[in-house]
Formats: sequence, C-alpha cells, structure tokens
Amino acid sequence: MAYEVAVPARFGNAMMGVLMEAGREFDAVPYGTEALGVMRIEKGHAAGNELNGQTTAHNLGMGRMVSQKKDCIGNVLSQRPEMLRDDAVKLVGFRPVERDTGLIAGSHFITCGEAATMENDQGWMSSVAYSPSLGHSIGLGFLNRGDARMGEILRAVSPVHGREMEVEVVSAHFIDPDGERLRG
Amino acid sequence: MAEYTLQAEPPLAGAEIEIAGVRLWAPADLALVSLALPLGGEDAALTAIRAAYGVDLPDIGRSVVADDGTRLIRLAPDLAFALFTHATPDAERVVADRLNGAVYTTDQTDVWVALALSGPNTRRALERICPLDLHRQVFAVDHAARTVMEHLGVLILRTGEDDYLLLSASSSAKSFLHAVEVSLTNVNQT
Repeated sequence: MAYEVAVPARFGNAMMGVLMEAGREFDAVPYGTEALGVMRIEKGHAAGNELNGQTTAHNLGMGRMVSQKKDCIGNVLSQRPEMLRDDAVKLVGFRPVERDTGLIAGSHFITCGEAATMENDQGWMSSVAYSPSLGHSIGLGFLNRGDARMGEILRAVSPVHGREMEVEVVSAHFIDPDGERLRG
Repeated sequence: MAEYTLQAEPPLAGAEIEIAGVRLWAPADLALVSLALPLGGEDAALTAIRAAYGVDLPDIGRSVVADDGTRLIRLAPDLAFALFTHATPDAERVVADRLNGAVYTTDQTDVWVALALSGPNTRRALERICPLDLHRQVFAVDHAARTVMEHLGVLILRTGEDDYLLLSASSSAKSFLHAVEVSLTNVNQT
C-alpha cells in the first residue's frame, strides 16, 4: 500500500515537512530506494529483476489474477502450452543454509550432487538483499516447479564469481506473509 | 485532523545582489506557461491568442508585452511561452481558460528559474558568459534567444535597453546564480 503525492516543485520541501509532522504520531520515517528495494524483496514483491520480459503471471505465481472469463492483452499467448508447462519456473524465496553467507544474484540452481551444467540448470536467483528484519541474506528467484519444492536444499552456483553455496527453498513472503502488520 | 499549510520555497527566493553597477535579482511570483499551437489548428490558436491578449504572437526570437503585462515569447513556429506575474500554483489553468482550448498549455513555472539583470554594465557582464552577440543592433529590446551559459541552458530576453531576463532550469538554479554572479564580479575587477 503506497501513495505518490505530487505538488508543484516550490512546495516540495514544505510537503515533506508536513508529511513528517502529520506522521509523527505514527512514527513515520523517510526512506530511500535502497530501503524500498530491501523491503520489496522481504515481501516477495516482484520488480524489474523479476519482470524482465521473460516471465509471465504464471511464473510469478499470479496466474489466477488473469481472468479467463474475459479477454485481455496477452491472454491468447498466455494460454499456449509452453506458457502453461507444469515444470515452468516459479517465483520463490531462498535463504542460505549457512545463515551468515551472502546470497549472490544471478546464481543458478542445481540439484545437490549434480554437476553445474546447462543441462542441470533449474533456474536463477533474480534479487538478493540482506534483511535487517531476519538478520541474514534473502533472495528471490525462479525455480522449476519452485512452488512445489518448499524446504528443498539446492546448490546456488555463480560461475562468474567462482562461488557457490547451499540454499533452502522458502516462501517468497519473508515478512508478514498474512499481512497482519500491514492491516494491523 | 490538524490543518497544514504548504509554504512555497522557490529555489532562488530573495536573491538580490548589486555588483559593478548591475542589479541582479530573482523576480518573485513569475509564472511561465508554454503554448503549443495544435497541428492544423494554428490559425485558430493565433486568433485565440490575439483575442485573449490583444496582441499577435510575435515572430520567432521575439517577444511582446500584452496590455495585462503578460510577455509572450515565440520560441518556434508552433511554440511560445507566456510569462506573467502570478503567485498561486494555477498559472496553466488561468492561461488555458483564456485561450479556450485552442492552444495546448503546459505549466513550466517551477521547471525554470528567472534572474533579472539591470544597470549600465549589464551587457558587459553578460558578454563574459553569453556566447550570443548582445549588441543592440543584433539583440534589441524584446528579442529572445536560447543559448548556454557555463554549460547551462538559458533563455535570454532583453526586456529594456539595460535590462535582461534570464531563464534556466530550476534543478541547477544555484549553480546558475553562481555563474552569473561570478561574471558580474569579474566585470568589477577590470
């Protein structure tokens, strides 16, 4: 839940002051885009890294939001068999098995015990951040049948960095999954 | 619910300096609205401007002051600016209402800042940062031109024999003021 407020530029500083004054009783704080980026990953909120033109609502776990009772732009293409594969990549969350390890965006997921080859590639880590709320690194990524693999341990391999680590598949909703804090 | 009031804080509010016989200041409450003539509707737009302001839109590179004090500045075949004193943030609506929809209007007020210069040494001060020939035979009263000063885009207007108005981007307002001020200081040292 967010609002954007537009005022003529000459009122910008005054607007900020008024917002802080009005928000004092709610402990309002200003935050920047870095904090915004961390918080959206903590909430499993898809952004540019996930909405890169290669992914569909089906991949993002939002397929049910596309009504099949009426038409919309992209609806015909979204019903092609390749777009509805059972083993399509799904957006899920990841956390490092060794909690003090930092995840690496761009890592590819390989089943433990298998070689890190293109044939064994099962998806990729799209966004990572250190979560101050959880005290460890968290990530969002796309994994084949990811939504059916909660709790599985995988290799997250980044040949570019020459590093890899074990990660656990978790829900992408790291913080307040039921929205209690939001609606509290 | 508490009542809040927003106070306007224009970037160069209150700036006023006098150096080397040149007075430099940021005019208060100057509103700027762009006027775009619709393709195919140019004649109707020019008629609407004439009806609203009592003057014809001038040629490109020229400006004219209407009876109500609004300065109309022609920048291109289909583009002009209306510059006038107006304190509240509804300048675009005021102009749009007067032109009755015959012209596309966009509020430019807070996008630009204005610096006025006045005094006998003004042209000497400007010739150090303005690449245009400002001699009265070339750049006469009411002429207008886009140029750059210290890499900053500027719309320069000659509003009187020794009076100029400079418009530049509000995002670099303080750098712009600094550049003009330094130029005045340099005149003072020669």
